Amino acid sequence: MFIGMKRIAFIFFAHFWAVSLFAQGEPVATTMVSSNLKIAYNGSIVYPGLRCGLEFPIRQTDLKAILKNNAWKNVSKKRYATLELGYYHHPSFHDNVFLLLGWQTRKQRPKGFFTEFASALGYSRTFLGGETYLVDNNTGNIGRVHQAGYNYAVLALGGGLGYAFRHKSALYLRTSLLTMFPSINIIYPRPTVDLGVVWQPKHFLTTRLKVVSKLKTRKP
Amino acid sequence: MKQHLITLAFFFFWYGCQKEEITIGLHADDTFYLKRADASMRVLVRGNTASKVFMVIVHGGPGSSSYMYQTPGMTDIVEKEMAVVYYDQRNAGASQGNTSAGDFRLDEYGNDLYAVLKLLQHRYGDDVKFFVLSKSFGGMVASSFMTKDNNQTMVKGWLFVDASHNYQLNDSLTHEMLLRVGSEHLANNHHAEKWKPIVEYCLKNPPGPFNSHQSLLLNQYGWEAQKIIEGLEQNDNNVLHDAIFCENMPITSYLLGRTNAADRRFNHSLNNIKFSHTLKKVTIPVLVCYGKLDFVCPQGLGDDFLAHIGSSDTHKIIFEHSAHRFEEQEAYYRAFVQFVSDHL
Repeated sequence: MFIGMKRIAFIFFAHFWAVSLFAQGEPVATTMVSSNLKIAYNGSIVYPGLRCGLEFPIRQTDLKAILKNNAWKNVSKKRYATLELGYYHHPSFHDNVFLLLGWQTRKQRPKGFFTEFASALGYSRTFLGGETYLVDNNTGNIGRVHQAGYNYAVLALGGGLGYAFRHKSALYLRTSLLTMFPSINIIYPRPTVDLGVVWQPKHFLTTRLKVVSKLKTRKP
Repeated sequence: MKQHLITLAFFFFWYGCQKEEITIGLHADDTFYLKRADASMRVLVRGNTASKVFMVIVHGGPGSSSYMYQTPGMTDIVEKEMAVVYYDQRNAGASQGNTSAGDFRLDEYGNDLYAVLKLLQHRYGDDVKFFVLSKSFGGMVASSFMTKDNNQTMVKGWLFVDASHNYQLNDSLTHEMLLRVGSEHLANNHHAEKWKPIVEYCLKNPPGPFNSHQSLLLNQYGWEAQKIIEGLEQNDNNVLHDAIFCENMPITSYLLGRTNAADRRFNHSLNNIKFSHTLKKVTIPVLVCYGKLDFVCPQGLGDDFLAHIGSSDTHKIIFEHSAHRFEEQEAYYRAFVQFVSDHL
């Protein structure tokens, strides 16, 4: 038993040592690239809305790996800092405007298909879905409250898939969960679905992108 | 870019300005919010506002919603004759806000009801006549409201429907009914496998002051019993399912209102509140309705209510084939309309 544990520990150690040595040889380059613009129909399931934003490329890892059948697999992992402004309209309940600052990873295959995961923190302002009155039971005074609604902190998590076209544009579908707090129910979760396009214009908010190339080969 | 941002900001500002909709007519459909402290409660007014008669529904729960009462029968029978006010209590249905758990006190719920009536007068005129329909937990809210100061003078009549005004008595009656009916079913071997755990629980927990945990379990067993009891009229209304889209129901808000921790704490605080001895202050006409097969709020609550209420104008109807969900829809709604029209 103990010998078996030692053997496993040695294999792990040897593996990570080898990987770390290999990583030292990874070519790293930096390049100036444009940021992405994105716009989407942002439905809170059936309630319509809009979401638009920016994706600032931070890092790109181009991974080349050899598979068991000796074929090559190419995957490009991109990381972005994101800034998004969203809105949805839920009749008689509320309208919600939210601003999110987040982190997004996108894993793209050579044929253009990609999957993505996004997390974000932000601010939400709701506007109640009807005329709002403030009633003071002690004085009997009743007044209208304009722009009535609530401020919330938001945590958003989402994942989706899409297809990148050649001309620096992509189509994507993403589901997200907006979690607003503190609310009357402690938290208020709200699922949303985005269907939108991403577009990378030329020379738009150019940022420095770190590009790392990795090669993974099978053990002899 | 700057111009676009200004346009966008203007759009949101314009959209955020809600119009005041006050409909006096036969088919009103007004939505507005009542804000008290940090809670905003949604109020829907539907039906015949031209009648100047408003029936305000104080829903059950705590944490249910007025959505549950917007049935086709309510629309076809009641809303034709009067305006029906569906308001969501704080922490329920479409209510919103940042309220801390400390604000979940029964007297605050009663104060909210007072504010709703004041607001309805403000919008629809001082000459409107109010009837309060309290259902289940709504009986506690309405009792808190009716027994405070001169609040009852705002109301022409009180419909006390499948409601509770005393949780300890409620639990004792539920326990007694579960044990009695369950034992009969076991003796006759009717649904014995389903009644057995209910009867066993009742035997292990003899009558007496029940704690809040026992109270919740008795309530759950009451709902279970209503699923297996014979003789109920079929009620095919699936309000929750129907309301999700056609009523724009905020489903996550509704479900969290039913289950969140603050609500559970509030539930515990209700355990020792009883209005039996303060009801003598109430002298307005009352209609008491119960389903004979209601295990959640058994009809004995209505007997206690009538024994203590100060009013001399009292009416009682027992619905033979109903439990806790207005199973005999048409009969319930016609009884409401009759009571209201008799007391205008």
